[in-house]
Amino acid sequence: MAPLELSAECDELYSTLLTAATESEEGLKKQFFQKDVAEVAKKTAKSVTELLKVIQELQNHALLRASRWQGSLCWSTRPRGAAEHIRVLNTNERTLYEYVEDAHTKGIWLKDLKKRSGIEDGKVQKAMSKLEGARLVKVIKNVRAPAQKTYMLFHLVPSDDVTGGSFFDAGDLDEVLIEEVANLIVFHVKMASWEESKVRQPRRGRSPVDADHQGDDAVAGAETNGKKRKRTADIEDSVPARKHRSRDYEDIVVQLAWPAGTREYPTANGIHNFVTTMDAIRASKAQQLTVAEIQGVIDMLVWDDKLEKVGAGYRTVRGISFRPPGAVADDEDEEDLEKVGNGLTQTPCAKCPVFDLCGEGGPVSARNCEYFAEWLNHGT
Amino acid sequence: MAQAQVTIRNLSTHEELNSDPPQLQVSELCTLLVRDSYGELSSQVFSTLALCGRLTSTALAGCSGLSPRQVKSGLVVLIQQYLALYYTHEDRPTAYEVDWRNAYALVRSGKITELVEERFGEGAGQVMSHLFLLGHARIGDLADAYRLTSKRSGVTKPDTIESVGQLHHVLKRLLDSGMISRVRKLDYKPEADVQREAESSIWHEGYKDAKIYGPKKRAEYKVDVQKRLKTWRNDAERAVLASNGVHAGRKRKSTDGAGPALKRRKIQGHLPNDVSAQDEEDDSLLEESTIVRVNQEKCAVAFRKWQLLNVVTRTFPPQTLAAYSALLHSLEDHTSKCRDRFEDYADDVDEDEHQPTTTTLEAISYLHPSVDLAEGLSSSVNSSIPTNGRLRFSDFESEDEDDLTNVRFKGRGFEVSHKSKGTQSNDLLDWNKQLGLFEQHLNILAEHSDGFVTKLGTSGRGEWRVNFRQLTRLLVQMEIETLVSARFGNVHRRLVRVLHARGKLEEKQVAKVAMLTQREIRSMLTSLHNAGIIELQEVPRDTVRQPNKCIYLWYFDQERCRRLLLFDTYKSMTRLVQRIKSEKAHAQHLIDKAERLDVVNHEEEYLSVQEREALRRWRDVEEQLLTQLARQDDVVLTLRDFHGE
Repeated sequence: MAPLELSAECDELYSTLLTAATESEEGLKKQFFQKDVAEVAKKTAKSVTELLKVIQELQNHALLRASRWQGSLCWSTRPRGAAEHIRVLNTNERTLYEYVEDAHTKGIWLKDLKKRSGIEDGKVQKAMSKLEGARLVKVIKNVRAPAQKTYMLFHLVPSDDVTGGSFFDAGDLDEVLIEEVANLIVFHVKMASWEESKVRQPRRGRSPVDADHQGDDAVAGAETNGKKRKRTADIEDSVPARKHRSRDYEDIVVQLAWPAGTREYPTANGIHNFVTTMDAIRASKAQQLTVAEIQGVIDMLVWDDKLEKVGAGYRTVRGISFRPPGAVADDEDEEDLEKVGNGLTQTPCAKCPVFDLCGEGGPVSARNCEYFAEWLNHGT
Repeated sequence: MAQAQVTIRNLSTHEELNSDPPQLQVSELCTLLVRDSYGELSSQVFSTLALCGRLTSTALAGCSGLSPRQVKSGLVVLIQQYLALYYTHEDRPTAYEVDWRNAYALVRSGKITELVEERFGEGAGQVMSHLFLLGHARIGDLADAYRLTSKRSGVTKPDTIESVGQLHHVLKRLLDSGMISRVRKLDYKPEADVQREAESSIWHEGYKDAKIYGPKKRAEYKVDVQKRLKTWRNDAERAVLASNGVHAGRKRKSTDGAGPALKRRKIQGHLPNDVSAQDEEDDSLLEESTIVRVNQEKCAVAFRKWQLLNVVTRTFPPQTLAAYSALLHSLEDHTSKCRDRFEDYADDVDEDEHQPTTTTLEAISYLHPSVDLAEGLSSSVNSSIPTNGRLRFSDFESEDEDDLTNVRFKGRGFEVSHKSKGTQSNDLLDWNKQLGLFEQHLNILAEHSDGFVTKLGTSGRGEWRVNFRQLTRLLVQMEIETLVSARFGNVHRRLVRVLHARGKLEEKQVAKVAMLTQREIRSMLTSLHNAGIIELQEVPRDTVRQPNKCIYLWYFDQERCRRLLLFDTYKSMTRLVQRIKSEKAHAQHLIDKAERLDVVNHEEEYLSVQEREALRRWRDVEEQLLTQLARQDDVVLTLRDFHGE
């Protein structure tokens, strides 16, 4: 097979190519065309035949890998360690290794390996386990096909397509991370959404909550001292005030809207910028996060009624607050909001498991309905 | 495989829903409502008609097992109340048919009375409840009935109706607002017959010798028929206006220069007491022979305003809410119904482009005087609008001289109502500021992605349109989502929203977009599918249609969901009414006892503690059930009336 010793000039050429490859953006995937190699190998190989010889030698040492790119032949480098391992592989193993290598960060299914190589089942299994043992390839989990075995070169990091993106951890959805990022986004957007002013105002006989309930558009209130004071503007806002009932004054945080068209609400790009530059998330993770992924979290928040789109940016829904760091997720508030419901969901019928069976003269009817009885007794 | 089976089952329910009008769901409810309001005989006739469909009176007698005499008296009540419609074709016997919409409307009477009372005062509310009792009435008869009842009650309140003049005044205001309308002949004809008449008249005119070939011609024919129906309806409306209409039957004294603004304020009933008593009676009387009835369509428009405001409350401060309320109110004047069935729009966007518009100047006259617009806005807005110095006439650029005086008048009228001091120039300045603030509130609404209001131009300090069609879809979606989150949970709601926003998706894609694992969502999607809220479509990749080679796409169909939810609501309402009946039967002996003449006002003496307790419980239960019934009617309003089905 291959000569045992690598000639010095080949070694030199290989080192130059390897450095060039590692320095380039593509890394080891960098492809060198004939003229690229010729350029580097000017000293050692003056003619094409000489160049061919050098390349052949490197290929025999498995240091170079030949492939085709748009019809022309090209080569890419392999790490030295890997090359050493490959040299001792038999033909089958070598073929399989090359297929895995071709798949690069996408990985390749075991099924596809068998199909493409045309090697019989048992041999493939055996060869792959040997490659795995030699730490040349590894099995990764593909989110698109978690049941399938996917192989990839040992030193490669799987692409987002395979892992499912930043929000996946070893093939599983990282729900805690999503929650934290969502919370962070709500925090960030909220700061930019409303003008918050703390208003200290004398307590009046009528609580502001009552005042807001009057009529559908009546807002009670007279001005004091001719100077306009901001009162509580919302039922939700006034809730914290209850804590200070005993005092003569109450502090109320009012969320006031910015005038339309004057405010630039945070956009997906801006939010991405904030999330990735904040130290809340591990730097390596933060680097991975793409704008599209952040956009996904934003969409989720919009669907959960936490953010709303205004113009090109986003604003928090009024009354939504973020969870302070370290606090345990509190679902009760949300549930309380949802409990209001509509006329249908307030009755037992909406959740009745036997709604379809219910009818006069049937086994279940309004007359003997247990849910009704419970509901009515609860109310009175 | 399992998935495929589910799909087939679901398809069949889909077809059922599409082919059948919601009669089964409604008939039970309507029959119960008719029985509650008009007794056993009427309800028996009604339910026979409801179950058997269109019948002649002889056939009706045969089907119901009643004597022809009984049938006739039952029908009289039903026709008076618009619960039964009739049609006589040439020399054939008259056929009768029930009107679902009006029968269902019985449940809404309380709500409408309340609405009218709030807007027009207690007297108007009374008139409304009389009209509900009578179905329709001649104004003369109404006056007769009125005096009797007011004498009997013996209590005089400032807002009650004591003279014919007052009654007519109230009726006029109601007619102006459209809450009641004059009875038209068309009201008694079943829709199907009107449709057929229109079809035959079109046929005789344009398609006499030719047949309708091809889809293009068929579509043309359909459009023609719709046009004819619309013309007929509009003609009928115009005819009643011309014969004994508001504007023909009386003269308006031009005592005030306020014009529309003051009139509107009168209608709205917002100005506390400055509508003097003499003002109420100075208009000439309406024709005694005019027959009026409650106009359900217009009332639904008013309810739509309520529900939109409810949505806005969640995200906007009360001052913005007040501004929106004023805007919607001013649009109400231009809207006679939530949706015109006979209009032919290309799509929702096209329909919204034909919605009526209003201006800032027009809308602000509806603003509640006690609202301080400066609150609820950022302080920077307040400072950006001039508070001192000379009035900037640039703010009135688009106005001509006449308009400016008008503005000033309105401004003073407005300011005076809650501020007694201030010179004229200050008033004008304040008014200008007020307009600016009002516009700011509307701008904030317009900025929201749900599009509560759209700004069209700058005439009248800003021209506005509300995209009702789009907002109705939003309201419907909200009802569906409320049900989903109540029945299943918030995560299910997210899935429904994902499918609503993104269209047809595979399970994998749903999981990715919703940021959940496939394992988690699989059971959720299945339960939503079983409940009929989302659907599954299988797309075969080859001709063999092997289940493992198919693509399964989940999707959400709002229209189908709306119908499903509507039927569920009807059914739930039926259960509520039935429960009231059974609860009442439970307490009947006590009710009878409490109503005995010797017991009334001596409850302490004749009823034991337990009995009083039981009676109290029954009243509480009845109230709870009735309240819930009214709330469910809100759902029906959104799903049916606003949608314009």
